[in-house]
Amino acid sequence: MSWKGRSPPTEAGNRQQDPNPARKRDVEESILAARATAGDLEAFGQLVERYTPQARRVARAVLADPDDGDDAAQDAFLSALRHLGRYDPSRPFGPWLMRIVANAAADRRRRRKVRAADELSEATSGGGPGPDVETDRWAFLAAFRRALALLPERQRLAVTLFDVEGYSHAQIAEILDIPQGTVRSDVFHARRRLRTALVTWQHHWKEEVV
Amino acid sequence: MRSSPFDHRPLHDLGAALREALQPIDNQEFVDRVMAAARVGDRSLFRGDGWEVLSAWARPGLAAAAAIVVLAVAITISVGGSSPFEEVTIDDALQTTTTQSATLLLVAAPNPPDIDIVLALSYER
Repeated sequence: MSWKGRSPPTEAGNRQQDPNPARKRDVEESILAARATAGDLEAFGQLVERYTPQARRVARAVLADPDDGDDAAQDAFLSALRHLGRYDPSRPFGPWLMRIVANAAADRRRRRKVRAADELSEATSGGGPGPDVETDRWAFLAAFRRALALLPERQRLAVTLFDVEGYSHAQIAEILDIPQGTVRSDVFHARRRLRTALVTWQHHWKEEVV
Repeated sequence: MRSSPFDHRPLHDLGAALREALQPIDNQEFVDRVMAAARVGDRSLFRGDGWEVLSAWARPGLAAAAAIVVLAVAITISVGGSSPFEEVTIDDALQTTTTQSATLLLVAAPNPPDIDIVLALSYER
């Protein structure tokens, strides 16, 4: 799929029954962006609503601390608002915005000089999950976040953009400004490490529960 | 569904787990926060500032005024046409009240004076 191909579905887009909802959404978002560029703050608000969950997730993939992630996502939206004039309306809006989000999150992480391991300890603080059946979901998510935080930043972004947000390799290459082959490699390595961590945790959890 | 790291398609199980791990809560609160920040910066981000509007119009306004002035001068020269010094005839020179003004008239003329005019002035003297 090319850069000019369909945007990945947003949460609202998933529910649409239009035969070509992605294309329709791309056009709608181009119009919203044009209105926002002309000074229509309400149009900008609609774009913010559409992309808030995605932008926050992508920022959190870089910055495990949720507050830092939200700050980065907000920085990205305001930066996008300032630079809407540079957006090419013939292209999908999502990849353009995600590039800004990824850069904003990476900038914030560099400024804070926080290592992933440090973020991890904060994100999973609380003494570690015991294999309590009542907290199994919490434990699972904690283990998953731990495994994710141990990945290199680019791999975290690549696997999040691909497996969660549904962007193509080509689009991720544009977003992260790296070759497509590197994206494929990053996604592959991230998946392998995440799956290893998950399987290990699941085996451990099953033994404890049984 | 079996999935592999080699799969070129999104892995739904892994994607779902990742989504849940990264999923933020209270998106509406975040939207409100972003929009509040956008409104604070609204005057500088958008064209709401009066001085910005004026300054945006200043350059084309000045250019239009300059063009009008140039056009007016060009029309005046081409239509309204004749300079008082362009063609000095013998009658013009002789009809001046003083010799000094007649001489000035000849000096200011764009073309060299006719010999008859110069002689006429000499006679007057």
